[in-house]
Parts: sequence; C-alpha cells; structure tokens
Amino acid sequence: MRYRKGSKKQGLPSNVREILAKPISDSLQENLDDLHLLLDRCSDAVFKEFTFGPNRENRGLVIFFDGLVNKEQIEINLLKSMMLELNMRNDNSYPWPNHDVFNLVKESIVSLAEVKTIDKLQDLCHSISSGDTVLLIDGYNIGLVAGTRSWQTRTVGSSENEVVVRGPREAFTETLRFNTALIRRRIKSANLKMESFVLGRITKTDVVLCYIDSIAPDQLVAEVKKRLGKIDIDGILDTGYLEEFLEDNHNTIFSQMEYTEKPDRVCGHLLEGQVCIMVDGSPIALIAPTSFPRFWIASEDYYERYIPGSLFRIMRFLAFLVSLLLPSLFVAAVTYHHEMIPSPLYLTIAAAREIVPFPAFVEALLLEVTFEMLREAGIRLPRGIGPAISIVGALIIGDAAVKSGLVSTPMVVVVAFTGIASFVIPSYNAAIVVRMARFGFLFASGFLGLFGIMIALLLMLIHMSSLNSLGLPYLSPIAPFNWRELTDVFVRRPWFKSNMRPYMKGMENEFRQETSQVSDK
Amino acid sequence: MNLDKKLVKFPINKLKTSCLLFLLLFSLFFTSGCWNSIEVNNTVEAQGLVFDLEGGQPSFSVQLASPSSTDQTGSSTATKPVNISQTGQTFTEAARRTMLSLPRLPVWAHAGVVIMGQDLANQDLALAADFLARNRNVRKTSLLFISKGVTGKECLEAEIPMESYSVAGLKKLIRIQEKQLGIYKSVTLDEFLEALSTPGIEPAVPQVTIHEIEGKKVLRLDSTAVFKGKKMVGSLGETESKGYRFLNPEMITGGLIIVQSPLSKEPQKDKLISIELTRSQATVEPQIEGNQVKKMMIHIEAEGNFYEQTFEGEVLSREQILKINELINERIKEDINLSIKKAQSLNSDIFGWGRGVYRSNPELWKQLEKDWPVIFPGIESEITVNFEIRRTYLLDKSFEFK
Repeated sequence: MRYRKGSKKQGLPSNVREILAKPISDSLQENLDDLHLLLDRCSDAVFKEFTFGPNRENRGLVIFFDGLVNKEQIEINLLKSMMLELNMRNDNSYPWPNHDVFNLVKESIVSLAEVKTIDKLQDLCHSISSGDTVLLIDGYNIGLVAGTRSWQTRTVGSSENEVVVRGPREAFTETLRFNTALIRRRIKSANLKMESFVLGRITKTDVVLCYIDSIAPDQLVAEVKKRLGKIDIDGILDTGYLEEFLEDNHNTIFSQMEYTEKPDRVCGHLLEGQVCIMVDGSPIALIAPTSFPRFWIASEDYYERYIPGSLFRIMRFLAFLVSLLLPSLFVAAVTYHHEMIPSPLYLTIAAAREIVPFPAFVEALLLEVTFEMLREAGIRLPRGIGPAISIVGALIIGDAAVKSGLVSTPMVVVVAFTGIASFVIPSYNAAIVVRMARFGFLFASGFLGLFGIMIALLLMLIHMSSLNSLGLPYLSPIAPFNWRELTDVFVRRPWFKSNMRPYMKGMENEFRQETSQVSDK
Repeated sequence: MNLDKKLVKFPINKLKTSCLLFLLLFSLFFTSGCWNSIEVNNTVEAQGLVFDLEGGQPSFSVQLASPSSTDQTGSSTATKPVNISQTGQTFTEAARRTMLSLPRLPVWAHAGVVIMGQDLANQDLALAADFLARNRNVRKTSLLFISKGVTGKECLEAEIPMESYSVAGLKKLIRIQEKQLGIYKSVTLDEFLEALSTPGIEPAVPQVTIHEIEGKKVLRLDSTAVFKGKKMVGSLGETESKGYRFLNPEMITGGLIIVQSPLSKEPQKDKLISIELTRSQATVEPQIEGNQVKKMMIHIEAEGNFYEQTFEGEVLSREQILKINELINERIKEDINLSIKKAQSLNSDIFGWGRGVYRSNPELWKQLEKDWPVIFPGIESEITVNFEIRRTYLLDKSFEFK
C-alpha cells in the first residue's frame, strides 16, 4: 500500500473542528452525539449514562478514560452518592430543588476534593485526557470536572544516573505532580512558585516553571515565560524538546542548560536564583541559566565537607582537561615534538609502536571511534547481552588489537585513561561536549601539532565566550571575572562563608545567611 | 529574465563554494603536510653525540638506542647500542652522511651527552662551536665531556657498568660523583658555549677516559680540560678540579674532604678525618686600586658533617671541633690555591675573574681587556674560608674502646 502524495490533510477534519469549538449544550443527547463523534474509535473512552433524583427524572452522564482514573473513587464518591444515597435519603429534610440541581450536586453530593466547572467541549476533552472525570447533567450547559487522576506510575525511586554516596537519593518520576511535590516538600515556602503551562498542540503536555519568587530575578522569569509562550509544537515528550526552544544559541556543541533527575539538586539551584522547568512524563528537570564552569560541580560537593569537596572539584577539572586534550597531546608529541617526551619513555613508545602500521593520528582516531562505539553500544544494549559486549570490548581492544599489531599499548593506555577521565565529569551533557570537542582537538593536533591544539583551544574559548545562557555569560565566573563566585566553582566554598548568593543569578535577594556566624564563636 | 536567472543561481554557487572550501580544508588533514611531522617509527633515539677530528677531517659519531622490534611488551628496551660514525668536510655533512647507512632519522634532542674528541679540542674549537650553537636539534642542556687520551668515537665503544647506553650513563655518573665525591663539576653545552663567547671567562670541561678492568674497556672521569680561546691548553688534576669546583659561583652541595686530625703530632700523618661537605658558597670580588686589579678577594662559606675518623681518641670536644674547622679551612684554601696556580700557569681565566672585574668596574675592564692575558697570571688572591661542622650522625662522641 502506498500513501498518496499531495493529499495533505489540513489539520483536523472540519466537523471535528466545529465540535471542538462548540460550547457544551443544554441537551444531554446533543452533547452525547457530539462526544461520540469526537471520541469515535477511542476504545478506552467510557460513557456512563444514569438517572438520579428522587423520582429518577434527572439524567446524567459520566465520561472518563479508562486507565487514567481511579475507578473506585468515581464509583463511590460520584456514582454511588448520586444514584443511591440520594434516593435513600428520600425525606423532607433533604429538599430536592426543581432548579439548580447542578449546584447541589457540585456542592453537596460529589464528595471529591478537586472539582471545577467547564463550559466548552474542548476543555472537556482536555480534562478527560488528563485523567479527570467529567459529569454532564441534562439541562445544564456546563460540565463538572472531578479530579480523579490516578494511573499506574513508577514510584519515587533512587536516582539511577546521578548516584551519590552521601546525600538524598530520591529521584523524579514521570508524573509531574509527584515531582512538584518532591520540590515542595523540600522548600516549604509560599514563595516557591509553580507556574503551569500547557504546551503541545496535540499532546497538551503540562509544563511547570518553578522558581522562588523573591530570589529568581524577575527579568529571568519573564523571559522564560515569554519563550515558553512562543513555543508551538504538536508534542512535548521530554524536557529536551524545551531546551532547544529555550536556549539562546542553537548552532553550538555546548549545552546551555543543566538537567537533573534529583529534587535536592533542583532545590539547590532554585535557592541560587535559577529557574527549573519540568514536563509531565519526563523525570528530567531543566535548570537555567547556567555557565560552563558549573558543569563540573556535583551536588555531592555541597553535602561533603568543604575540603574533600574542593579537592574533588580540582580533580574533576583536571579530569576535564585530560579527557579533552590527552589524546591530542599524545599525538602531537609523538608526531611533531619528539623532544618533549622524556628519553626513557620515548624508547618505550618507539618499541611499542615498532610494528604498528598506522600514523599515530590514525591510530588515535581509530581507537577513539572504537571506544565511542563501545560506549554507545553499552548504553543501548538489552540487559541480557550487556556482559557480552564488555567481554568482546575488553578482549578485542585490550589484548587482541595490541597483539595483532594494529594499535600500540601506549595508545590504548592513553585512550583508556581519557575514557576514565571523561566519566569523572558529573554532567552527562558536558561530557558529551567534551567527547565531541576531543575529536576536533585530535584533528587539529594531527594536522599542526601543539600549534594546532593551541589554535583549536583559542577558537573554542572565543566561541564559548560569545555564548550566553538566558543572559548569563557562558564562561561566567571566569569571564567576566568574578572572584566571589569563583570561590565556589573551582573549589567548594565552605557553607559558613557562603553569605551571599551567586552574583548574577540571585541578585534579587543577595544574602543567604547571617554574616560571619562562625567567627562569633 | 536574465537577472532572475542569476538570482536563482546565486545560492547554488554559494553552496558549491562552501562545499569546495570544505573539501579543500578536509583534504588538508590527509596531506599531513607539516614539514616537521615525522612518525616515531621513522626515528631512532640518539643517546649521545660525538664530535671528533679524524685525520684532520670532521668526524661525527652517534650512539643510537635501537627499540626492540619483535617484542611487543615494551619492557625489553635494554638492547645493545648501535654506534654509527662518518666523516665529512663539515660536521653537518659528516652527520648527514650517517644517512648512508641509517634508514631512520636520529632524534638528537634526546642525546643528553655530547663528547668532544681531544684532537678537536686541541686543534680548533671554531670547527664545531658554530654548529653546536646554531643547530636546533642539539639540546643545549646536554652535558659536555672531552675525551682524554682516546678519540671520542672510542668512548662510544667503551662500557659503563649497569648502563646499556654508555654515553647516557655518563650523565648519571657525573651527577652522582658530584654529590658523593665532589671532584668534577658537570658542564652543560650551554654553559660551555657561553664561557667560550664571553670575554673574561674561559671554559673548563670534565674529561673522560677509558681504562681497562678485566679486559673490559670502561669509561671513567679523569681531570678537567682547561680552554683558552679556541683551544684546550691543559688540564686540572683531581685536587685542582676540587679547588676549581669550590670557586664556582653557584652553591655546590656534596663532596668529601679529608684532613689530618688535630690530635696527630707533626711527624705522624696517619690520623685522618673524613668530612662530608653539605654546602659551600663562594663569593669572589676583585679589589681594585686605581687602574689596577690588586687582588681577588675570595670568601668561602661552607658547612659539612663529621663522617669518619681513622684513629682512637676524642676529637669531638668543643675545642677540637674548632681546630678541625680550622684544618678544613686550610685544606680548602690549599685546594683553591692549587687550582689558581694551575690556571695562572696555563694563563686561562677559568674562574671568570675578568668577568668579575667587568661587573664591578666596566670602565676599567675596557682598559684591561686587551692586556688581561698578561695581567691574569700575576693576580694575587686572598682566600678566607669559614667552614663549620654541623652534625656528627649517629655518634655524638668519638668511638670508644673498652
């Protein structure tokens, strides 16, 4: 079968569009017809018609999607109370009005916490898709939305991608409400704002913009809201969609936002004046603005004492340099700058390279590409064959390749060390940047040696300094230089000295604690 | 109509141009056109360079470290050295003529030792000095030696115990010798060239010779060559070399001093004390009167540790230690005097006294520079030494027999 070209559908069919635009009608039958048309071929939609009232003269309709609702709640708190209890209490103490049945039902019969009214079929559709139940009563052109959302979810578990030794382990799940609750539980303040948006033409995804009102700069919040409002896309399935819409610079390998799956880390960022964006259906929260040097900060640094925390950060910075530059430095030294290698090491390298047929640059490229493939394969592999790839990888790369003389041992060591160093970087998106940039440096060094590396480094720095993340310069505490913030980027400032919030992000509310509380002791 | 066509065509051209540009840049990666790009596989590490004069012709020899080609473990690098030697009209030609029999480029930058043949040093340094100073592949921090009694090339053939590459072993040898024994001072190529080209100072370079132990030819340090102008004019023996080392403007550490015990009476000379020198600093200043350099004021500030005594008797009392200090002062003075005498007899200002005069009185030096060879042998020197014993190691008194 072939799909015919040229018969492009212009959105929804006209009759559906008409119905969606209609308000809810007085007549239950008309509404029912419209809804049947609208939810045609939706096998999971449940329509329940019933009668109620003392003489069973009022007709009602309950609509919901099966699987998204708590059926028990609907049965007990909605249907049972309307159909049975109302009839049983057929005495005069409970006057049945001839008018305004709807209000009576809303206020004293439906025993659910979340109720609201709607008057459009479009809203009705949105409500039931979100897991609410809509009650329509004959004779009223409004519908009652009862909050009965409940579906099968993953429970809040421990974080899988951001593992900590010391610190909270909880991680976000795919349900937005759980996620906001995880944040609210940590910041018990009315100033913690959760502004809600619905994005996605078709998916109608709930998006929450989260910030602390007195700390996050107003301009930042306004700008994020403006950019969120401009998004027009049919579906949003992850925060990654939003990142591309929100970021300032699209044509760059550098990611300009952080993301995390840990609520404690989000709270830390909120307290520093950043904003967080969460999307229903995604356990990943976006954090903006951020700058490049912050990518080697791990949340655990703040939970550990400040001396080890600082040392970890210095080590991570070194690992960052190693994973970015080591293969290219090695290639440059071996191809161009023989005099830079200590003599005994030179002899060892020469002996190991003796039967390798490739130039050092090609050898490095080969191994790096292999390593990247192994890593990628390791991520996507089904659990069952995971060990197989590691055996194959370790055997082929570690042993057979060297023995067969395709690559030399020093190069394997260099690439392996680079690989280990790249795992030290705590943010996965920063690690990806380093992985990509590493190849650029490799080409530069194979082409021009150390000069090439310097040129590439300069180009990268120039490019980075031209970037910004929602107004925050991308190299921010370094350029523009800010000593106060620098003390919490390369090292971890002790908490008792952290009196001020970060300079550019938390300017609204500068002091985070009483000053010099330790020296008073 | 025409105009429209052009407008339509324009983006296509742009695409073409950028594609071409990309291809051009991309192809650069495969040319590896950089002129000094060379793979390790096409190089060989040079351990030492030797400059000789063979029958009046410049001769260049190099000791190469051959990487083991079969073993992939990378550990068995201790293979036999390969020595290659060629003569040519110039040193550059001699060096490049080694390519007649060598398929790889020697990386001279790894050569930590440069040996200059005695013949070359005796005849004319101008043959090699420009080459050594100008050539960017010769590492200026490598140590320089002059062969004694043999050609430089023969030094390559000799061995050094424990080391697979004899010339590379020389580097370790002289450094450890300096710490432990303190006779010869290592000289880098850079220091040598600087002394050659600076007025008021002449170079002095340690010499290396071959002696036989059980039929094996072994390298050994022996005396210090003294230069004057473009030539080697003589050498300092062990004691004179020691004195020369004391006069070095840098602080020296390590060395051994042996003196008579203060307890020994005049006829008997067998009560000896060994002192380990821990550091010594010399300051040399010319005493100028009018237009003459009257004398050189030399002051040595040194300290060391009591190391050994070869007799019975308490020498580590307060008074005795002061006496020992005095004896050591005398001993150092003697060594220095010997080396000064030798240098003056060779008329070679290896201590850089001329430079000292220039530094304290540049105007005077301008007048004296021409006559310096006449003045230098006659300059008197006044030496003061202040030596102190600091520690006595595990015993704080002399060993007692009961």
